[in-house]
Formats: sequence, C-alpha cells, structure tokens
Amino acid sequence: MKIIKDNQQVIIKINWGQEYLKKIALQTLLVFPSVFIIQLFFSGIFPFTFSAWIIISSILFAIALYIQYLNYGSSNLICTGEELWIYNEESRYSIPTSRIAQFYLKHTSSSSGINVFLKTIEDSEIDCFRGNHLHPKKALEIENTLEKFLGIEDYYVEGEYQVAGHQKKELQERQLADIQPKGDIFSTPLIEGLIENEFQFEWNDGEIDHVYWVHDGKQLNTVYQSNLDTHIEEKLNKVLFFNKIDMDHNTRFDQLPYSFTLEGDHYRLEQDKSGLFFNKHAEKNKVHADQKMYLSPSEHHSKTIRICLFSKINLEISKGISY
Amino acid sequence: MNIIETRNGGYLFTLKGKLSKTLQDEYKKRLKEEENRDENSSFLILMLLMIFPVVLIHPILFSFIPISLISYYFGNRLYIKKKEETIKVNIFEGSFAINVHINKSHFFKHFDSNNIEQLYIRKIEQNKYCLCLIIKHPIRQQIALITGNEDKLAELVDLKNKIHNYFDIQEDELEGEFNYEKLELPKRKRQYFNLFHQDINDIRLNSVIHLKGNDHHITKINQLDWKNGMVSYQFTLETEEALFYHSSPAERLLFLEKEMTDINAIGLNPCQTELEGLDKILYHKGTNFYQTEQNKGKLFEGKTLLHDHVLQLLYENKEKQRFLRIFVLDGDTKAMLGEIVEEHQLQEILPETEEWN
Repeated sequence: MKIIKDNQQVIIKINWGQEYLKKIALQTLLVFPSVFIIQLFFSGIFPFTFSAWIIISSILFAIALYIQYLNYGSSNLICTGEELWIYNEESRYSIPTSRIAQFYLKHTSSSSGINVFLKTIEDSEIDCFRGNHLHPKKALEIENTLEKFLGIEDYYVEGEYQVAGHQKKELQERQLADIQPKGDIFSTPLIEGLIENEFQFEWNDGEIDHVYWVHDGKQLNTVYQSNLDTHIEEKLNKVLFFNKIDMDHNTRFDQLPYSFTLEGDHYRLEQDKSGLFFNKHAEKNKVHADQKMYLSPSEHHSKTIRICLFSKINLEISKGISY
Repeated sequence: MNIIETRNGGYLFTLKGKLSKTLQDEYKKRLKEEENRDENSSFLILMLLMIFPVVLIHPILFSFIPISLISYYFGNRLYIKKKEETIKVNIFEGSFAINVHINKSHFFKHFDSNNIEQLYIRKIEQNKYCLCLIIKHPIRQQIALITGNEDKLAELVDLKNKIHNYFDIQEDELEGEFNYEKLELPKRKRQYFNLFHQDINDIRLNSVIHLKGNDHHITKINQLDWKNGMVSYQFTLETEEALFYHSSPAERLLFLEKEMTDINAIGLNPCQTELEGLDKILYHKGTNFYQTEQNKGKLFEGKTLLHDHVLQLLYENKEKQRFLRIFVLDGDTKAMLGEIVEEHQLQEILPETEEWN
C-alpha cells in the first residue's frame, strides 16, 4: 500500500497480491527455519532426496503464490478537493466530496481483514474496494488520511470496527433527506445563488428549519427557510435593538416582551420554540437553541424579527424581510 | 473496544488485550484440570496409536514422540502467554464478569458488584499498564485484571470510567495510580488546497496572503471552537497585526486587529478578570462600541489546547466597520481593536513555504 499526499490530492495505491503475499509470508515464516533444523538433525536418516523434495515443493508453492498474485489485481483511489475516484479491477466509481459524510471500517464475518466503507449524506453505504480486505492498521490509516484531508469530523457509525483508542462518540440523530449540499444552487423567486454553508434547526415539535449562506455574486446573504416562508435576513446589534424598543439592554431571553414596535412597524410574538442546532453534517456536540419569532403582517411584504439563544449564552437578533 | 447494550440492561465490552499474570496462572490451573477429561486428549492418544506403526520403520523415529509431546505442552503454554485474546467484559445489575475464549476452552471470572471498591490503572513498567480491581471481602486486596501497552491505554481508561458510571462507584485517588490526560483536538480543518475559489480554509501556517495590496506572512494560527458549534480563526501576521475570522449563524466577519496597549482607555481595569458584568456600551476615541456577541469556547494553538473556557465579548460600532474584542487569558484581560476587511480585499492565498505534513 502506498499513500501519496500533497496539498491538492491524495493518491492511494493498493496491490492486493502484494498485501496477500505479505500476510502469507508472515504466517508461514516460522515454518522455514524449523524445516531447516529438522533437516540438520536428521540428515543421517534422510538422504539427498529429502532436501530435493523440499526444494521441489517450495518451487511449487512459489508458483502457486505467483498465480494468486496475478489473480488479485490492484486498486487506486484518487481524492481531490472536488471529487473522489476509486478504480478497482475493471470498475470505476466517482463521487463529489460534498456528498461524502463519513469513512468507516467494518469487519464482515466472511473476511479475515477489515473493509473500508464510505457513507454518503443520503445514508447509502459503499464498499470502497469491492470486498477486498486490509490489515486493520492500514485500513485505519486510509480512513484517517482521507478524513483529515477533507476535514470530515470523525464519529461512530453503527457496527463500525474500532482498531484501538477511545470509543468514538455517536452522531446526533439528524434527518438527512432535506440537505442541499455545499456548492449547489439555491433558487427561489426571492434570491438565487450558490450555497456556501447550511445550518439546520430541529425543533422539539418536529419541524425543521434551515439557514443558508447564499452568495449571489455580489455579497453573502443569510436566508432563513421555514415551513411558512423564506426570508432574507440581516443581523442586528442587540444593544441598539433594545435601545430602539425602549428596553433595558441587559434583558434576558426569558424576559422578552410579547409585542413591540420597531421603526414604525408593530411586531407580535408568533412562535416560541426550542430545539437543537446543527451546523454541519456531522456534529458531535449538542447545541441547544431557543428561538422567538416576531411577525409584522403587511399587504406587500412580511417582516420578521428572529431572536435566537444558542447554548444559553449566545444571543442573536436577525431582521428578516420577504416580498 | 466495542460496546453493546444487552437486553437485560447491562453492557458487553469486547476488547483485545492480555490477561494479567495472576489471572493467567489461574486459567492455566483450570486448563490442567480440564485437559485430563478433555475429548481432545483422547483424540491425541488415538493419533499416537495410529502413527506408532510408522515409527517402527526406523528406531531413531522413536524420538519424534517425546519431542512432539514436549513441544505440544510448551507450545500451548507459550501460546496463552503471548497471544492477545478477545476479552469480553460483561456488566449488569449486581455483577461484573470477565470472559475469555481461547481455543474453544473458556475462562470465566466473576465479581459481585457489592464487593467492588473501585478500579484503577497502574503503570507496571515502561510501556505496560494494568487495570486493577480492589475488592472488599474476604480481605481488602487488589486483583490485576487486564494488561496492555500504550495503545491499549485509552481503551482501559474508557472501560474503567464506564464501569464506575454503571455501578455508581465513587472514585478515590490512590497511591501509584496512573493519571491519563485525554488529548483534546480542535475541530478538523480540511487539508486540501484550492487553487481557484479560495476561502479562509486555504490559509495555512507559513503561507503568504495578499491583503489590501500588501503581501503578508502568516506566523501563527489560533483556533477558537465556540459552544454554538461555530469556529473562529486568528491568523497572526508578521507585523504584530492579526487577521481575525469570526463566524456566527447569521453573518461572517473578517477584520484586521491589533492589541490595545492601554485598556484603561476603554474604561477597563487590567486586574478585572470578570467580564460578565461589563458595560454593554464602551467608548473609545470618539466612537461608541455596542456589544453584539458574547461567546464561550476553547482556544487552540495548532493542535494543542491552550484554554478550556475562554469568554469573548465582541463589540461593534454603529456602522459595523470597527470592532472591539475583549477576552481573558491567564488572568490577563486583553482587548483587540479591529477594522473590517471586505472579503474581496483578501486575494491570492499562496500555499505554505515549508514542507506539508
């Protein structure tokens, strides 16, 4: 196995025959000295023919190994920032890296080694090397190299084989179906652009809201998408906000009013939810989020004020507008 | 180590390791007793009887019999001593058991959970650690359970903690106990380098960036992992200035900051290490700064954890052009004054000059 890595790509070349030979050699290495010792001791009993027999049998053994060696073939894996290619014998496979959720190792009962698996964000599993298995330490090296290169956070997948070290932590339960991966085009009548980042709120009542960073060519916009509507948002300074609505700027989240007036618009509390916040596909830490959504109804456009408290310390106020 | 939750509400831990010497001796003793009435041994005798006529061909071939018997006996002992077995540790209400399977034979050691005082890890010799158990009855004594080298240490610590949690055992510090410090790593930053469409993740240590018409060399990178799951980076330039990247779910900021030498100017006392009650509006050189964010997190330099709980207060002026960042490090209150950098003013990130690893 050969791993070549630089700033722009990782190339992994595996010659399966070689791996197989190494395994056989390690297992049978002890046999050869013992045969030699036996021959030394009993050279009186066994005539020349015995050593000749050993030579012939070892030649036959070598030929059998060589045939096996030719049989096994090789695999190549190339990973760049955008795409991952896997070339196995006569088959190739490619996947955009934004769709890779995790690499993990699995011990299937039929094999003596470890298989490297890939999990996509749609929750489908792919055996990278088509049933070929590796030594656990080597498989771990491949997993770590690829995850480090792509910046994927490591977590425990059900049934994963763990070579050594700490028990990996499990990923938080999360619905995966709604994800639009980074780099896709976000397209609504309101705004159109490239998605740079995606966040997700999972509320305790079962609803899921999304926040996207959308770059429309000029600037970065924050888009909040809920079941009701899509809003383009702008962050407000919390001290200035509390000044404008005539409240003390040390106001805590649970002391927020039921309704207020900001710049001539009257806002009324619409939703009060709490739940979890995720900012990536794989997130091991639980981020608690509380949110109060205020709405100012109007004929032409709707305005919202969204006040969100992350992990009970970080308060954010955003003003949203939708036409 | 793999953990399975069993149906009766207990746990089954499977790990590879070596049994301790005391348990190995116990196991060998039991193996001896078993051997006498084992089916395997009768099969061996049958084999010997079958081979016996072959041996009659030449008198020297007789020596094969004692050689094979001796090698079988010693080989078996050596095998048990050298081999790493799959050890299964089973815990459920009121019991704690160690299970080992070697060559179809089976070794089982059971402890009553009321009898367990506590578990701890001891360093026996260089690169060899042992998980020990202290029992109360019949006499208070320690029993060595599983030994392992440095690679296995993390698993042993995990196992110890899980058992303590399950049986609600109060842990006391013991003499000779090995204290294991868990290494904490920052959130992973991707390592591939984008030639086009570059972003903040392409800035590396010792790389060169083109900022506002000047080239700058990155001498240090600090990473802050916030409690809300977001990440901030501080890229220190060769000019004592630093490029600070801050992200929150609603916006992302990039500003060029410099440490304030006199923090009295913003009405801050250098001895003041409590930031909780700080004013929400600060005044400095004709501008009012309003607090916009308050965040807690961990500070890393490279891969080493420098501080566990860093509290940061972020202030901005009305036009969101100037920023003030206040935080406490080592009992020192520090303030950084920054000015915004538009994203298009950061161009051309060049890869690092030194070798990449």
